[in-house]
Amino acid sequence: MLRAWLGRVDRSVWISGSGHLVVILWVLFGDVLFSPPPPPEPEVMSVDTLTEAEFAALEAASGGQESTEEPQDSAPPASVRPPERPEPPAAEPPPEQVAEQTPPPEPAPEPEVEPQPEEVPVAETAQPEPVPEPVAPPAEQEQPVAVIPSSVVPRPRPAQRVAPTPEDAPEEDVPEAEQVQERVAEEAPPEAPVVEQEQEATAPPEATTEVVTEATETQEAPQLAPTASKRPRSRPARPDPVAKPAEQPKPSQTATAQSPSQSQSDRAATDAALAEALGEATETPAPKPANQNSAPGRGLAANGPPMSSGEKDALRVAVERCWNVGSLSTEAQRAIVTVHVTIGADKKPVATSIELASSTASDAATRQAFEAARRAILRCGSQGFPLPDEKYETWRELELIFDKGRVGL
Amino acid sequence: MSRLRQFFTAVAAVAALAAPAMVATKAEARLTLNLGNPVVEPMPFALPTFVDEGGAGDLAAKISQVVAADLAGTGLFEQIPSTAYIQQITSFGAPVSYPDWQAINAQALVTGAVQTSGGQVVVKFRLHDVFANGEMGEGLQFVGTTDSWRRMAHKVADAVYSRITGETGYFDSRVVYVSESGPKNQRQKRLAVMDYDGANTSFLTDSASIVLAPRFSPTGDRILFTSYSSGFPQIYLMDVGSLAIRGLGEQPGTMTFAPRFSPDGRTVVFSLERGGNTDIYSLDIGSGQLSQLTNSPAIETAPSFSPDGSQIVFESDRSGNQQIYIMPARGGEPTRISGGAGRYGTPVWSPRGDYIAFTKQNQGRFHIGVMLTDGTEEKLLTASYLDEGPTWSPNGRVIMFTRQDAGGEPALYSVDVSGRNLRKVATTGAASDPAWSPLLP
Repeated sequence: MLRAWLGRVDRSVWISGSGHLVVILWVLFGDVLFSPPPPPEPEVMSVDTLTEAEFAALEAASGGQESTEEPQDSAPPASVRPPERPEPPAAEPPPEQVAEQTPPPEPAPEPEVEPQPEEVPVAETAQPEPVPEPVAPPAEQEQPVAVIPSSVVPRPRPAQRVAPTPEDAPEEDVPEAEQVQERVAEEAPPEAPVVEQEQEATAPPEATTEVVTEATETQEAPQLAPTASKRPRSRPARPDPVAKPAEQPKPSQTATAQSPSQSQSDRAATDAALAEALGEATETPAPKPANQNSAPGRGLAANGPPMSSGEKDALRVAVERCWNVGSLSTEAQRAIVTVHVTIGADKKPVATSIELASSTASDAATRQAFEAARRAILRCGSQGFPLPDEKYETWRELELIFDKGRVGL
Repeated sequence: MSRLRQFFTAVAAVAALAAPAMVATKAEARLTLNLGNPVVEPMPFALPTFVDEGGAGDLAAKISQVVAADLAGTGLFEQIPSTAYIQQITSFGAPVSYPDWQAINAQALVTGAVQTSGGQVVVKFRLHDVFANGEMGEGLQFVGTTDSWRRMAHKVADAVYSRITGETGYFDSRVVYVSESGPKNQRQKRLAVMDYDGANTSFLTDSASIVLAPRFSPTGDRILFTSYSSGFPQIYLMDVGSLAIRGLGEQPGTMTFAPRFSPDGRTVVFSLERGGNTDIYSLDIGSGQLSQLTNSPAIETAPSFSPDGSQIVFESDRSGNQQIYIMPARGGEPTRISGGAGRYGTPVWSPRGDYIAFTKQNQGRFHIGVMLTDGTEEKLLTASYLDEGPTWSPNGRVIMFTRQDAGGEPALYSVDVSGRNLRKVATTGAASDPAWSPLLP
């Protein structure tokens, strides 16, 4: 009897105990393990209020009635949001209080043909915007731009060096060097307390951005710079000012005026753009498809803080500056070679660590392409790469993918 | 015991699961960068005068100069002046102080030595990758007669070029061309042959009759050309060694011209004019069998085989003006590959098979250009009053052609296939119609 009772008790105790244990564990660790996603940030929008007097003045102005009378209500319409760009003929009386708080507007340029646009009520921090004098009626659509017919050909200068960044030919007495430095005269100016050591000016070698053949060098250009700027497109038609107050929702409803789906889509787009911007800036690991794990230039270092895009670009440019493919065969130039290299704490590459990881070309072309890549690493790394000290663990092991593509072949 | 086995089994399972994760962590520990904007500029190289190891005299300096000129002449390399050298190479076997050469930004270093004895010259060299602190390949030496010292130098340059670029060189090669002299109304044209750089010119024919369009055989021992010795243009075959000449495909009432060898050297394709119509024919040199490859009322000429001998590219005006077509080597329906504005002619298939060089005339100017074999990626390399007749270097990297300015004399020019390094070739007098030989054995 007792055994049966205990058996029944045990079962119920087990059930009850298990339930309590789950509840206790949930209370203790639920927030840690299963923390709910943070509630979405409430969208905050500034809401402007409109007094009756201001509304009447606004309505009168939009109705085309000229009035120079000040509003009866002397209270400052601090939150009145006027039309952002007034139409030139519209004459809206600015409230005095607002005008006092607003910096004096700049005069409109040369009101010869049409009257100068008058000031309109503005918010406390808003700046009155002068309307420029149109020289021609605004076009409904994009207008063609006139060009100067000329036989003068704007083209890249032919140079022996083809580099991503064009460089002018250095002066005759300036030696070529990768690093640009100013000339420092041996004779210091009288007011200079310290005489600096003499330093010769150097300049990067002349370079152009593409191979300029004789044919392209003499090719006639179709056009030069435009003789006039584009005519501005006409502004979208304003909504009927009379019907506007009736159609527009109340300012207090503005924050919730958007439909839920539109609001969600906007938020999603904002989140996506934000995530992209943050990911670009800090290279934060982000979930991505498996086939994009080896996306070039987005490698991740597990052992150190991520490098910013600027830091990676600086390293990339530093190697590319010495990556010379001019003497390679076309097959070697097309080869995509992946090279692994270890960078020492002194930011210089360890020569013995440079190894070929993979290649897309034949053995002969791979060898030439790899040697060119190794020369680039060793040459431009001989003085140390521009790398942040605090991220040593991140850039200590590098995987460099040399891929020229078919450009310039 | 059973529990112990279970324990080890569990440990092994955990290790098996954890191993890939550890490998992945190791792989991801590298910072990956993609580089896509290289510079294209001549590679600086140093070439100290080769060491005289006995009897060479000034030959060592001459050979050094030719090697350096070969390399620098490609536009792919730039010689560092010897005045900048820090280390002086006085012995071929002496160790190289790489930091001294790195300091002057020499990326490649060529050291060598020359020895002569009994009419024989021995030239040996080493190529060093300065920034890798080691040699590129092993040392190499060439042996020849003293008279052939220029060929020894070209051989050295070819080896250096090949090791750095990964493609064969073209320095130890010759060019046959038409040497022109005399006034316009009494022009004398002779076949001449020279080294690729203009040295060692010799004449193969006299000026008794006008000759045109010489073409080397694939082995370089024979030359096809067109001569007016019979009063009409006819193609002839010359043996370079003996200078013996014999006619090919002679048929009464016809004119033959624009010949070119097949890659195996046993067949010649050429244009044959009969009754006012010009078509392309092939001739088996051994049997004399003649085959007609095209049959249209248009003018079809300038045939050139693909390197594998399976196709022929030629020019035809069957569409109304000169365009470039490709057809099977045994004839058949041709496919037009040129499509741009202007007229296209004298197509020549690259030895590498990737490009077709051509002459283009458009808006009153002549161009030498290249396009892929399907007609895409057309690129014009030159532009002048008159550019025509391209011929490929043996490695397919350089094109030589004829250029004539208004009122001037024709001359030979060369240009890299990329359009860079346009240079005038030194010749003895006016020159036209160049044809590059294969690399000499």
